[in-house]
Amino acid sequence: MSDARRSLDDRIRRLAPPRVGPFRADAYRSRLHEVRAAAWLGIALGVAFSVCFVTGVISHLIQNPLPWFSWPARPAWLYRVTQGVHVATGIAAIPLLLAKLWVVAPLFWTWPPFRGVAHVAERLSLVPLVGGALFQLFTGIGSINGFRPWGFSFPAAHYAGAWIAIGGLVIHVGAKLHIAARALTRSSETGSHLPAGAPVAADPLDAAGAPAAADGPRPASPVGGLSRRGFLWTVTASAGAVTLATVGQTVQPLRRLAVLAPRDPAVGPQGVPVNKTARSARVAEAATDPAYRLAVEGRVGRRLSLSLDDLRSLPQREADLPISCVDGWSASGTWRGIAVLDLLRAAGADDAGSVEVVSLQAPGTAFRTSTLDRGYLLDPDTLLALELNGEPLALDHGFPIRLIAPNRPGVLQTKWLTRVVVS
Amino acid sequence: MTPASSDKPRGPAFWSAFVIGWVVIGFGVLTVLQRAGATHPVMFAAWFLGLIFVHDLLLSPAASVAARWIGGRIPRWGVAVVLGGAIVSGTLVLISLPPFLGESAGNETLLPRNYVGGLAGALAVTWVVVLAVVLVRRRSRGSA
Repeated sequence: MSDARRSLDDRIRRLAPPRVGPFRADAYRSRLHEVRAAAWLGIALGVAFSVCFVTGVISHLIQNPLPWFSWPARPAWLYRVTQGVHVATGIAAIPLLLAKLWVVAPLFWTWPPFRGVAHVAERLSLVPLVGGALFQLFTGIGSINGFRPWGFSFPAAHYAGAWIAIGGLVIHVGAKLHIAARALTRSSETGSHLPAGAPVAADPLDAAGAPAAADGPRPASPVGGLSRRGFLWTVTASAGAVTLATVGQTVQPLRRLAVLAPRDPAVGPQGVPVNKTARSARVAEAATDPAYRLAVEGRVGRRLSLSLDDLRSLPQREADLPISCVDGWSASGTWRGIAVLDLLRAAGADDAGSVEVVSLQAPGTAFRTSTLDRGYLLDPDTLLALELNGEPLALDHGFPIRLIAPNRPGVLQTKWLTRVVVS
Repeated sequence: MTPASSDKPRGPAFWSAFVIGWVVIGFGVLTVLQRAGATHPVMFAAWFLGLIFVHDLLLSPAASVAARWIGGRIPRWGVAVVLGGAIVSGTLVLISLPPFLGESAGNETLLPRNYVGGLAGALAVTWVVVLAVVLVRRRSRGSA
């Protein structure tokens, strides 16, 4: 290195502000800020975010279909599982993410802040990763609880945020995979402290006066504080606790344990929860009007205009089907009504390619209509239901008649039907 | 090779991931902009970046300070278990905030539970487990 370059480096070094506060080399002294804990938590989070991403994109595609994507009507429970897993995994990821960010916190204050082009590139890519991860989990758990303090549409923002977060994750895996692999294959019990080479003493999480280890080798299992293994078990226990406290909103046998879940799958009219009420959909009057008619039109042999009595006089079929909400709760019900196949036959439209069902909600309302493709039309359990659990549908469940089909998000099980349009 | 230099991102694996990742991120940002009527990009960005600051400048340091505070007040043999209990409790408190803050907006099937009671019960179970672990550890240490 030339003398001129060396003197420039010296000058830059002298220009750098003093390392104060969290920038100090010894600011984070807990043994838990170390690479193995970061690696284990990183793997768990990588799996959790991948699962959330895939299940989330599936849910998005079912609701916003693309030409190449077709969602089957069977098995009936599939969406209940994918969306239940999506929400449960997101909730379990909250303690994982917070633990991971805490473990690597010293790297946020790393000094010097930038060490070369690749380091700059990698650090800047942490903004979409960390911001995206926090954004997805915060908006997700907020939304399912009716806590939406933001000013944007949740589905649109959560969908866009998913791509930003997963892109950040791809870069992070590319940057850290070799470090994690090395840390986890090393036979030694102790991992490298973060940032590498920083002095370590007994502090935050292994507090209470454990002997300062800065001048000597660290014991594998510190006396008095949380060891790495203890910490990772604690994080696992936290993920387990929040799962047990919420997953009963979709796993019925755990219903009574779900003390912090936004839904109870047995609480609602006719024992089934409701996503949108008749009042908030502003359909109560039209749905209970004695002059109510269901129109069957479009590419049909004969148009039908059916009163409630007409609908009840058509052949009825019963099916046990779950209602599976995008919010991650689900509940099973026994539905009774007219098979769409039978209705199409009555209208002389056996060869229908697809059917659009239209709700009484005002035009322009989200999820006012939904489309059944041929796969759904052929399924005998695709019903226009008049009854739930042995009683006429409650108004909030879509009285006088609603769509209920197997393997479908609740928002596409259109309620308060007024028209069936055949294509 | 020092640990610091070997830990730097490098090589074709990193740069391929970097390019692919930013293409994916770019798609996300494009989606935000294309659907601006729904995503409200300024609001989106404010929450996106704001959450990083709230976490890194408030939540994470608060966790460190709380851990130090708890650690300084517990006899040495119980610190690990009590800190473990505190971490589980903190997580439970955190995920009980949305039900506390959420609004059911006339939908009686949303937030139908007593969440104060639910949180109290979950915390009680957590600390019964903590107590049990402490007692078992003391006994095994005493008999050793």
